[in-house]
Amino acid sequence: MRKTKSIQYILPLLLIFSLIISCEQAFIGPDPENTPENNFNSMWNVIDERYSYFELKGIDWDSIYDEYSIRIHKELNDQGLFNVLADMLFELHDGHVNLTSDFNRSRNWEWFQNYPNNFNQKIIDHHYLGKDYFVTGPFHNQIIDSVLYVQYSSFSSNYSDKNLDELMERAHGLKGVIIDVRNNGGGKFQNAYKLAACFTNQSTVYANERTKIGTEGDDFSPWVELRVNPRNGKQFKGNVVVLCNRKSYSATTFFAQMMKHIPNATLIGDQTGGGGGVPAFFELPNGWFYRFSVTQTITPHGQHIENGVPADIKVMLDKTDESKGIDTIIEAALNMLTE
Amino acid sequence: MITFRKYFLLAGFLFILLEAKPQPVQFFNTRLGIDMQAQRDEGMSPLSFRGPGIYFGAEYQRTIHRRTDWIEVNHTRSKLINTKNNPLSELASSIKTFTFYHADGANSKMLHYGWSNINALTLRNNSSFDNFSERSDYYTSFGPAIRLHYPFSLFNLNFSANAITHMQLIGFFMRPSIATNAPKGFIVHNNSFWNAFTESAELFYPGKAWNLGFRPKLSYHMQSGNKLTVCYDFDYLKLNSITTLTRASGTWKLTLSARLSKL
Repeated sequence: MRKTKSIQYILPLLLIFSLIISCEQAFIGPDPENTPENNFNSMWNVIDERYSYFELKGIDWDSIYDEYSIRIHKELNDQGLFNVLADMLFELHDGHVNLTSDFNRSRNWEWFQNYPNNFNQKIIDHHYLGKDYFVTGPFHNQIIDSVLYVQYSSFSSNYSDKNLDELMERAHGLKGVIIDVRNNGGGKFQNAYKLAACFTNQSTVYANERTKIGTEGDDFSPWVELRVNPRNGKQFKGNVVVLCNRKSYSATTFFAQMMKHIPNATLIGDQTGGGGGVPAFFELPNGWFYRFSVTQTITPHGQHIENGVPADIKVMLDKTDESKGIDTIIEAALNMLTE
Repeated sequence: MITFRKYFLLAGFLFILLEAKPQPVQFFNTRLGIDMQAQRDEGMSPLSFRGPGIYFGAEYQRTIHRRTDWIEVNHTRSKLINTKNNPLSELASSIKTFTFYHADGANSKMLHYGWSNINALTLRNNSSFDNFSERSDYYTSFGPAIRLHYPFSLFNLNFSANAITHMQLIGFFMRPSIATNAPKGFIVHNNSFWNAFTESAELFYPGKAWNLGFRPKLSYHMQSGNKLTVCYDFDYLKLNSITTLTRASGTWKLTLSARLSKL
């Protein structure tokens, strides 16, 4: 009698146990089928719900669906699908939008391709950095006419606090510092912030940012102030010039915006390329990745920095100077700091 | 002298009080295990991720009179991949409490009814993403629990078979906003914690959120009063928010229970 009662409980228990064991995937459900149509719809929907610049750029995403969905069919191969999706993303006219597959990476480089370079690395190497320049972490630097010239070519390159201390020490007592971020395509925001913090002695509001928080077009968080605070460590209190061009993008645009609001700093060169929206990533059913802007950033005066931060003093690289091995923009900065 | 007399009286009172109450049976349990889970966070990918993890946990269990309750701390570290071999790492921590009521002692056979409380935090990191690579979830929930308890002897050794089932019915949860890891109330940095919490928390109730678990386990009771237990812990979670998270995990656990009170 007792055994029968035990079996009555234990058997269903064993049955449930055997059903659930190692069946975790079954409870999650199958992945969406990897078809051109599913991939296309997945991307279109995610961008529709999350992209932050439709209104600013006047983009009708519904009409873009109509235009590109007709190019999708079952027989489309990977290359064909990539082309359709890349073309659709190109309509966003955003350097922070890319599609990455195993064989290619789509991009929109309109933000610098249609503008003058205003940059010549050979001239910088031969006539400004010379052979005996310092390499302090990622900062290539040289003292020219009592001014510290610093070239920082990617905010992706990390540096240490000790590197910054050395740089500030080297600038100590000089007439000024030039930070050349031309052709710096961006990288880590934190690297931009820490560098700017070396040149301000007060907490400075340089921009406002808001983030997409809902699926509707105007579902944004409230604007949040972005500040740059003084560095706890060695600083340079003198005049600073930041050199920019159209290839100064993303984190470099943020750096330029920070420096623009620091009282003793001046932006010289061309306006930056932009990239004021921080990109988020997503994955397609076929495993490809794509990214797109999900935030908006505006100046304290309300202008978006998505299309760039204008220089305080616009100077273009003069072709005659260039042929003589002179960088017009560096010369303008040196003149300003040594006058 | 007066102070000494006060302390003496207090000690005597406490001694009588403790003597008058039944002594609890207490265990401190330590656990190690291997976890296998599958999950889909529609906030970062339409694809599911699956893979193994390492589990460790600790538990304090007490049986007093007609009630057994325990509090457990769990931690799992997992490395998952999806069908396209893209990786995801996860840290999951939880504090869970269970309370069961039984008519005539902890070793009474058959069904014990009670309730459970779960507080769980999960952090995921998708290393393929340069920004917003982290996603996290938190929930606190309460619900009924049932324990099937069956002690038995085999070859003169004492064992017990247990199966615990729980289903969470009420509570709250927080999911990341549509773009960032921070729930929407926490994106605004100068928001007070209370405002951020009320803007971010969503009600946990069946339909909006699901969490249920099933734990069959087999324990060997040593003569010293300690126990050795093998357990399979299945847990299913679904949080429907602006994006949906679905997660199912099964963990094989080996538990060493040290009895804290005398036999």
